[in-house]
Amino acid sequence: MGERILLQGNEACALGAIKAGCRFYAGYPITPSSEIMEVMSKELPKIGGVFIQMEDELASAAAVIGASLAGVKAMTATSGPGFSLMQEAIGYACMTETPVVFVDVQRGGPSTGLPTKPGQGDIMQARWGTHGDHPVIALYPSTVEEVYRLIIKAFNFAEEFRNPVIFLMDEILGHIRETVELPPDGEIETLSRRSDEEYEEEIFVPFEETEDVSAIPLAKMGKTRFHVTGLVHDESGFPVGSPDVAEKLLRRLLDKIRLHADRLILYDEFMVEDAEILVIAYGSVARSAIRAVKMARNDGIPVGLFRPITIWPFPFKRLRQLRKHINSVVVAELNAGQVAREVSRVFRDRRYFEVVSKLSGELITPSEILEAIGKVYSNMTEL
Amino acid sequence: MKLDIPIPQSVRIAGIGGQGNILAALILAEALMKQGYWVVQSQSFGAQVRGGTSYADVLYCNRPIDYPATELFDVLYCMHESVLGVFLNRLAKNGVLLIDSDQVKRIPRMVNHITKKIVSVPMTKIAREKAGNARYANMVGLGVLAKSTDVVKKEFLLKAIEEHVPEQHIEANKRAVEEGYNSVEKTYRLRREERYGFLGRGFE
Repeated sequence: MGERILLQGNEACALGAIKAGCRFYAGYPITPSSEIMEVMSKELPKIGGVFIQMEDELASAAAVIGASLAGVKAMTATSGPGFSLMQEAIGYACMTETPVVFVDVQRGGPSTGLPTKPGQGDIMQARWGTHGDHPVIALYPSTVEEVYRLIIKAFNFAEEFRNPVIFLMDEILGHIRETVELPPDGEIETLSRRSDEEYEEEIFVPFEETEDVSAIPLAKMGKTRFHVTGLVHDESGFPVGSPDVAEKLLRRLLDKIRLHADRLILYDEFMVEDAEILVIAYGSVARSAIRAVKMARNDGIPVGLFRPITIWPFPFKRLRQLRKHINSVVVAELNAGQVAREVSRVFRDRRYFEVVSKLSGELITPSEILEAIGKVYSNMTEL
Repeated sequence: MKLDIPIPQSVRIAGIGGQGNILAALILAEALMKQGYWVVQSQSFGAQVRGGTSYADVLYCNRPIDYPATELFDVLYCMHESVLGVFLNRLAKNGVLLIDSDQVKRIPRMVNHITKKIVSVPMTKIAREKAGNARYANMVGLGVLAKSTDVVKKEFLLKAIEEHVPEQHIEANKRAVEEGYNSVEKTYRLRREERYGFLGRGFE
């Protein structure tokens, strides 16, 4: 049991990042993510880190990539409108295999939308926001305590896979304050960067293909030299126009995530073993969903909750396993059905498929989810 | 076996932007956490710094809270007339209604159908005259809350103020809490048993 404190979601994100070893933050303030920046501006200088407020989100994203290549763990945080501006740089980070964490505290969209209200409309932007086929890791916690623990994981994934990690939150999760039990230091695992001593060669070959298609740990620029570019490149990092090199590079980038998806995919389940109806919800909506599932269970309805924590890569494999005993699905989300569509790829042949979708900028209530569960259940039990 | 569903007690502090309802909720939440509860504090506000409906909620429970919101509140602390009509229907039956009588001149008659536990205190006036500035009205309100309900203990509020208020304002804020605490006599007890409503609201 750790110490109990009252912590805001955004504060937990910033403090967790620092715990994970983040020592560079560049950003541009935007509601509802500004508190992350505020805490970073206060805390980073105290521990020898660097904080910069950049002129906009494009520059912020570029700055964190630069800092990461120079050898420091780096993060930026924004909300929907800023996340749109960062997309170009996210593609660059994918192509140059630079470990960075992008936090997106989602608000109602599109455009400037609902600045102080929650939304979950950036799920597909997190996957396909930048152009081209690219590997993506996106995580989405649902309580403040989980924000703290998961942001540390996000940094570890970024380092291990040398890929940008998109850390999704929403306005509710960002602004809510709640009692948190911080994990004791012994429980926290952080991956550290390869130190200068470990890498002695003058020239670092950053894009070598390893046998198990995992990324080689990034060396620090300065002591060693290497070239990075957004163009298709060979192992050394210099641009090459050959079709073979292009095919090989892009396949490797995708395989890096695809072949190791089992390690990346995190999810949480509640009473799914004997469930016939599966409720799928994530982020703060999952908290309404768990209440709804408990209420339905108390009324004798065989229902369970599946909460994806890793949104991308999507946990298709686990959902396919659940097909054995699940015959109906309810998906609840604060968008027009972005995850519901992914879920339907697994459950499209099931008889009842309900989507509880809300765009008003208010949290979905347990009774709305309960209503959908009831509807499905009464259809199922009808003679 | 029935699953345990934690139903927290709840307080909503509503006013207009700039009145300090989020700070009041933050201090209340911190105090309740020090009292040993699991707490969730959420808020809603507009983009503007001053004006516009703004409210902050505090939920507390002796167990971890799953769903961080609630339909009905056990206590509604209303800082401004413009929000009373908006949130009155979110007050639980026989809940406690705290009112700053300097800001709220007219109370809708429908309040009689919901509760008789109305605590009306000139909080702004007390803040101005006894704590030195009308800004401290939110802390007077917390003092009133501590005395007129059994939600929070005063000493924990004072401790929470020390942690969350800039140093030069700590004394005035604490004084405001004390003055609010001393301005009322009666204490209402909130229901401690868990409500689980299959019967709708207003059912007798």
